[in-house]
Amino acid sequence: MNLSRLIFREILHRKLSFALGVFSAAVAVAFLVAALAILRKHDARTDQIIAAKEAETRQQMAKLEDDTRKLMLKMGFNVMILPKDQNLSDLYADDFASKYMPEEYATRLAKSRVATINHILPSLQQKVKWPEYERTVLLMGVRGEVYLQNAQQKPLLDTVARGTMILGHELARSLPLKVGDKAKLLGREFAVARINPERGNKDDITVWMNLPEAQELLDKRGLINAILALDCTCDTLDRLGRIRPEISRILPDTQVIEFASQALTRAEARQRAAVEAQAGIQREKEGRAKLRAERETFVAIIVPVVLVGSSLWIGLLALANVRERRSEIGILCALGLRSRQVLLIFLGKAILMGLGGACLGYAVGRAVGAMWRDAPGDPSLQIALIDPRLLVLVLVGAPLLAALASWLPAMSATQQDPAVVLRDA
Amino acid sequence: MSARLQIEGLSKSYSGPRSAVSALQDVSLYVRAGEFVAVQGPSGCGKTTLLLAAGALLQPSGGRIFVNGQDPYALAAGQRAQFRAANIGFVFQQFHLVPYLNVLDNILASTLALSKKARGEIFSRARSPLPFRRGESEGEGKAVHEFSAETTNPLAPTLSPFAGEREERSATAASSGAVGHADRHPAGFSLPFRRGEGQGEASSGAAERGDCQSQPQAAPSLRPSPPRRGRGSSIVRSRALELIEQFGLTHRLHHVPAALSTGERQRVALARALLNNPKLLLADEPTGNLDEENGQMVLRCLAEFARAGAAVLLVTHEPRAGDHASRLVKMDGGKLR
Repeated sequence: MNLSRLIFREILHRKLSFALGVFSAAVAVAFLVAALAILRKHDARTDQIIAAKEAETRQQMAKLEDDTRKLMLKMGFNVMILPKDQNLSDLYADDFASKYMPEEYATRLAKSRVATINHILPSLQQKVKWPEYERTVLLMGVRGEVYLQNAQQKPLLDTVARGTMILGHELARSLPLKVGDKAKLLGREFAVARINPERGNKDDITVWMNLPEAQELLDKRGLINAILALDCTCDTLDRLGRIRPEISRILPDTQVIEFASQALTRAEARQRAAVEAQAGIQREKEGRAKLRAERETFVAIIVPVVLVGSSLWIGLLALANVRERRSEIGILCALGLRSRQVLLIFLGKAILMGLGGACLGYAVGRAVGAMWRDAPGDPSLQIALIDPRLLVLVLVGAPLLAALASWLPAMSATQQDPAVVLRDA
Repeated sequence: MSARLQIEGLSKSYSGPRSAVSALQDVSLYVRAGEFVAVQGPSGCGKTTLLLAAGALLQPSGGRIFVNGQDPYALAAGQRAQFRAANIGFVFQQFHLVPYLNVLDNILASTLALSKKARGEIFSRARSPLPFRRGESEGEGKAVHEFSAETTNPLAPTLSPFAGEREERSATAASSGAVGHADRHPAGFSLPFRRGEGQGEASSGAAERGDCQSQPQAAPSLRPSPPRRGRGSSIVRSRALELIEQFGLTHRLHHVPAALSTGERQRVALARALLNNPKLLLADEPTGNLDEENGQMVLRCLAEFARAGAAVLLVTHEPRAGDHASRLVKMDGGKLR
C-alpha cells in the first residue's frame, strides 16, 4: 500500500469527479493548443500566399519586361541626343531637328562604353516634298545597325538595305504602294521593303531608308541631326538626371531630351505595375498581419479566460473532494499521515488530472487546428502545426496548473484537525 | 510494571461562545502493558476528549501525557504523526474505513504513514515466532519468555475468553485428524475467530453475528506463524492477509466497506488497528454500532490484545465493558472518579 495506490483507488471510486477535472483541463489545453495551432497555421498560410503572389508578380513582370522590350524594338527610342544649338521649339513644331552634328558622334558615344543608355541609333531626319507623289513626308535615314556595348545586347532595328525603303502605314495606304513596289524619291528609285503597321503618329507618314543614301539625297554627307537612344538602365525614375551628365561629358556639343513614346509609357506602366504588385503584396502582408493581430487579440483574451475558468473549476472540484473526504483525512491523520502526505494525495490527483487533460486537450486542439478554415486539407500546413515544444509545454504546464488550482483546497485538507473530524463523526 | 500510558493532571478546555468549556479536569491515569482499562461514563463527560488527547491527536490545555515513556506533544507535528503511526492504534464507533479501499487495502492503510525504518522495526519483530514477549509486560530484569512453536501461549488457556472453546476445538480437531492453524494474531495473540469463519456470510444476517461460535470448523492448533522472509512490503501484506484470515474476512478481501456488514466493518477496523502491533490501543465506543454478539467479540478481542502485552484504553458507556476489562474507571464531568 502506498500513496499512489490510494490516489488511483480514489480516482476509480470517484470517476465522474475525476473525469470532470480531466475534461476541464482538456478544454483549457485544447483552447491553448488550437489557438497556437491556428496562429501557426495562419503564419504558414501567409508565407504561402505571399510566396505565391511574389512568384506570380515575378512572372508578370518578366512578361511585361519582354513585352516592353519588343515594343521598344517596334516603336523606337525615348532619349534623343541633339546638337546643342538645336532650338527645341523648332523641333517640336517641325517634328525634326534643323541642326546637324557629325555622324562620328554616334561612334564616339558607343566606344565610350556609356553606362546609362543601351542602344544608339544615329539618324538623319528631314521633312521633304515627295515630288513624284506630291506629298510631304518625313524622311529618316538610319544606319540600320546597332552600336553594341556587349555581346549579349539584342539588336533593336533591322538594317534598311541600300536601294530599299520602309514606308509608314498612311503613306502606303494612300499612294498606294505595297511591299515589292518600286517608287522614285527625289529622282532615285527604291524598292518598298516593308510597310509598318499603323502607329497613329508621325511614323505613319515616314519613309525610312539607309543613312548614307539619305545623306546623299539631302546633301548632308557625314552628318546626322539626332541620335536616338534606348531607355537607360537607371534604377530611378529621374533618368535624365543620370543620363545628361554622362552624355555631356562624352559629347559636350549636344543636348539630351526625352520624348514620350508608347514604349516609355509601357515601361513606366511596367514599373508602376511592379510597384503596384509590390504594394499589393505589402497590402496582403498587412491584411494578414491585421488578421493575425485580431486573432492574437482574441487568443490573448479567450485563452486566459478559459485557463482561469478551468483552474477555478479544478479548484472547486478539489475543494468538493476535500470536503467529501473529511472523515477519510481525519482517520488517515490519526493513522499518522503527515501534512505533506495529505498534500501529496490531493496534488497527485490534480497532477494526474492535468496530465490526462493535457493529452486529451492536445489531441483535440491539434485536430481543431488541422480542421481550421485556412486551407484545412493542405498537408504542408499540417506539418507546420507539429510542435514538440508545445506538447512538452502542455504536458508540464497542465499538471502544474491543476496542482496550483488544487493547492488551496489541498492545503485546507492538511489543516484539518483530525481530533475535530473524529469527534464530530 | 512500566506504564504504557501515563496521564498526569490532564486538563482540556474548549472555547465556548461565552466562556471556556472545561472537558477534562486534572485527570491522571496509568495504563500498564498488558492492562485493559475501560473508562465508563455518560455522554459528554469527556471520554472521547481523553482518548483523543491520549492518542496524541488533541493538545491538552494542561498536564502531561506519556506514551511508552515519550511525551508525544513534545515532538514536532511530523514526528508526532510518525510516533502515533508506530505506537498507537485506534478503533472508533464509526469505523472510519476508507470507502474506496477494499478490505486488504484498508488494513494496509495503517502502514501508509510508517517510515521505512519504522516499518522495518515493527515488522522485523514479526519474524520471531511470537514477537510479544511476556517480559515486556512484566518489567525489566525478568526472564523473557517467548512463545514458540513448541510451547503454546501460556496466557491463552488461562486468560483468553475462548480458552474453553479453544480446548473444545482442539479436541474436535484431534478427533477428526485435521491439522489446524493458529487462531492467533501474527503478532502472537489469540483471536476470537477461526480461519475461514464467516465465509459464505451475506453482508447482513450471519455476518452480523460474526464470531466463531456460529460456524464451528476444524479446530485450529496454536502453532504460531512461521518466520517471515522476503521484502518488507510482502511481509506486511502477508501479515495483513493473516489478520484478514483470522478475523474471518478472507472471502471479503476485495470488498469495499459499503459491501460489508457492520460487524465486518468493525473487524476490518480492528485488523487495521492491530496490523502495526501498537503498544497502545485506543478504542472509542467500538461496540456502539454493533449488536450484542459482535460487541462481545470486539471486547474479547481487545482483552486478548491486552493480554498479549499491549495496553488498551477503552472509553464507552457500555456497561458490559467491565466484564472484559482488567480495570474499570468511572468518569463524570471531566473527572475520573
